[in-house]
Amino acid sequence: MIHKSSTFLIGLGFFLAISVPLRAQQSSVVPLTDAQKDGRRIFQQRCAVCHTLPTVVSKRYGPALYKELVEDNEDNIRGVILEGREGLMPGFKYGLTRAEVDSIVEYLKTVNRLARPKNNPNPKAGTPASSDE
Amino acid sequence: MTQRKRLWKIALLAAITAGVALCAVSAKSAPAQQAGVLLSGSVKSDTGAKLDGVTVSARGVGQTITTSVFTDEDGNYYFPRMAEGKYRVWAQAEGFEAGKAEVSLNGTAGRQDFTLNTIKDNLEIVKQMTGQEYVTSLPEDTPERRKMKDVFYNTCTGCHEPNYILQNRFDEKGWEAILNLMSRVYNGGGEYAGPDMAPFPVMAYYKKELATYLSEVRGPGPSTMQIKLRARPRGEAARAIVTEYSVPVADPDANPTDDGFPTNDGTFWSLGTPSALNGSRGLHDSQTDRNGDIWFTTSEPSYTRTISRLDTKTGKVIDIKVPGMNGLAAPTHGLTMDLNGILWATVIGDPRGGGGNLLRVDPATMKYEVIAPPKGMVGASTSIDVDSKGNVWATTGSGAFRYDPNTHEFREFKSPTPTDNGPGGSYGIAADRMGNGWWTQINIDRVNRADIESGKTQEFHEPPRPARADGAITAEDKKLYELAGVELTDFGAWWSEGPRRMGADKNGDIVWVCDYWGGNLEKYDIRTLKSTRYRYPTPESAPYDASVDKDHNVWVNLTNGDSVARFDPKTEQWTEFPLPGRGINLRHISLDERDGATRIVVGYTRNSKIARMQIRSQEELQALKAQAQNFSASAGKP
Repeated sequence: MIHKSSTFLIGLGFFLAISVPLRAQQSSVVPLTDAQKDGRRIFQQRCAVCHTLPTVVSKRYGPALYKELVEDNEDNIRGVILEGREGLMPGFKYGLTRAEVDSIVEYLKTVNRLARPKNNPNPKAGTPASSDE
Repeated sequence: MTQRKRLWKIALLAAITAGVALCAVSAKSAPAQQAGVLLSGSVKSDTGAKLDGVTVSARGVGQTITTSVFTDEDGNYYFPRMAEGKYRVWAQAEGFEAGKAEVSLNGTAGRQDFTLNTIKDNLEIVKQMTGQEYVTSLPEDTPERRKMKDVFYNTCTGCHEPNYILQNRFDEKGWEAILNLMSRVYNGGGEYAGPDMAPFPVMAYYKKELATYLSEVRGPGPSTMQIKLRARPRGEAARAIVTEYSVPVADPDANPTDDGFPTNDGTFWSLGTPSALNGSRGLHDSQTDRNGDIWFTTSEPSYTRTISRLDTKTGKVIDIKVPGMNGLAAPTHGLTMDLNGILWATVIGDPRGGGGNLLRVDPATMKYEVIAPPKGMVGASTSIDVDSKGNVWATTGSGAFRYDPNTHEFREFKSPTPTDNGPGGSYGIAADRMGNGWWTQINIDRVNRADIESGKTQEFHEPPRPARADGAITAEDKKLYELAGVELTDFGAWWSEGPRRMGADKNGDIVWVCDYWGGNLEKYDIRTLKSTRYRYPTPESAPYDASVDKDHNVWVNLTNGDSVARFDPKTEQWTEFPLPGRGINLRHISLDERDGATRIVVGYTRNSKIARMQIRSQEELQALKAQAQNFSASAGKP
């Protein structure tokens, strides 16, 4: 009986250990601030079409964005959001306010590096169009 | 039966009878009291003007069901009686900031008034607009502008609602970057094909011109758009009551949210048009079963959801996963119910994952069966219907098939204009009351009919839309569409009518077809085979699918209008009923007429919601009004 319980607990621990990283683009466990929530909503509305996977089996157009790319690089990220990149990405300086861009940056600083959902049927999915990743 | 058992049975019966009698006496002697709390109030502008046609919505705190009503000509609103508790209540009208309140309902009645502040900045007003309002507002004062407006409309809005695109403001280079991406996205599925794919020729050909046009209307400088907002609902449309059910996203692991629902589900218009990404998109056709629960299909890939049941009392959703490819759930698209209450859906996607099969679900047991067409027969695709004998009709990549659930026999019908699973694939389907099948080919403007007796099919070629850009259409333009035609999969030339989905009058002799780009409702008489065209007052509303009620009225979902409309064939009049959300992308409409009332059911394809609408009678509303006035009088309010 004891042996069975131990096995269960070990199994549960293992399940939790592998489950957490599988939460793709899930923000950190700490609850988001209001500004970060705004940033997530705007990111999903305006940016996700290129920077996340449109479906669980799709290719991504632009690079995935996560906190390691953004931390200590905020000004550069803001600049790309506002000015875009020739032929690849539009600049959002006419359509988003400075506060909205800041909220996107603050949200991205909470995003863990992308892990694909389990059982991904398309091993090539997620290949970026650009070579930034 | 033993004596003792018999005595127990008699005693039980006596107790039940006495209980029923006691209840009946109590019901008679107690004063009439209705269950629930009546919430009412008024809405005015910051100038003090009463506002009619304002959408007022209420959702219990922590709940997933939202109820919406509209203010009457005096600016007053009346909810049906609701359970006691805390509610979030909000009021919205285009051109005004939303009014928001939290209300505790207890006792018999509650009141919440709103004063809405006027928005003065056009840049803020446009965020609230429907796709139809954007397109109607787009400039078309020169042939060149009309040409680009048509190119935009027919190329980009087969999948996207125009407000999703036009909520952005980019300069010319920015719009070119968008077109660079979209020219390599598979139409229909919306998946990026990769940089090596040759761009779609129409988008590549018009890239510069279209980017210039878009940067003039939604770019750095003053916009050339003349904003034209639609009128707010009045009269019968303002008597509608809409119940919206929020549906959790299918794969929360892949889609970050706080609560399992989309971060923007189109509830608050000023937030702009939500994206269909991050799990928001997928919910497709919806159908009420005999218990009043609503079933829905999911057309996007997911790991969990093939077909689902929404409990309309609790809002709880139960998913059924039919194994597809590589651990995914098989995706589905078309959905209907047969005469025995059995649900039928089309499975789409890769044939290796079950794409092309029929799915049969018994709502009572929730058991399903996958039924594959015979080898060599083209599989099912987008749409499905049942004829008066219980045969199931489904569209295919090359026409349609009919399946007899009794004999398990499949019978295939090919479209006269041959296609190969690409352009010209069938889109909508309807089985008329004579047992014949009808289907559309959206890309090549064909409506087809299979005569079940002879087995022959015939096609009706809809005439092209009148040229709107005379003088600006060049020989090269025409040549491009001729050459590119075979590559077009989900959009048409600017002359395309785009017959999309359809509905048969099961008690009449008419099949109704929605022309998506042309903005028409096309009537086909199933006996004379003559057709008559009825144009929607704002054709940019994009009529998508039709369903016919017991009184022969035709209900149409207007994809770009975020609304449904009713066409009365007797008076040939339209009535539009706006729904409470924005960017909701309706792709299907069904009716629930179980108890004689007509309820309209639609899925918000891009917002992960299902809505059910019913129209209240004037008497019903009058009674609520009288009760609310009594409450106000007793509370000392005007």
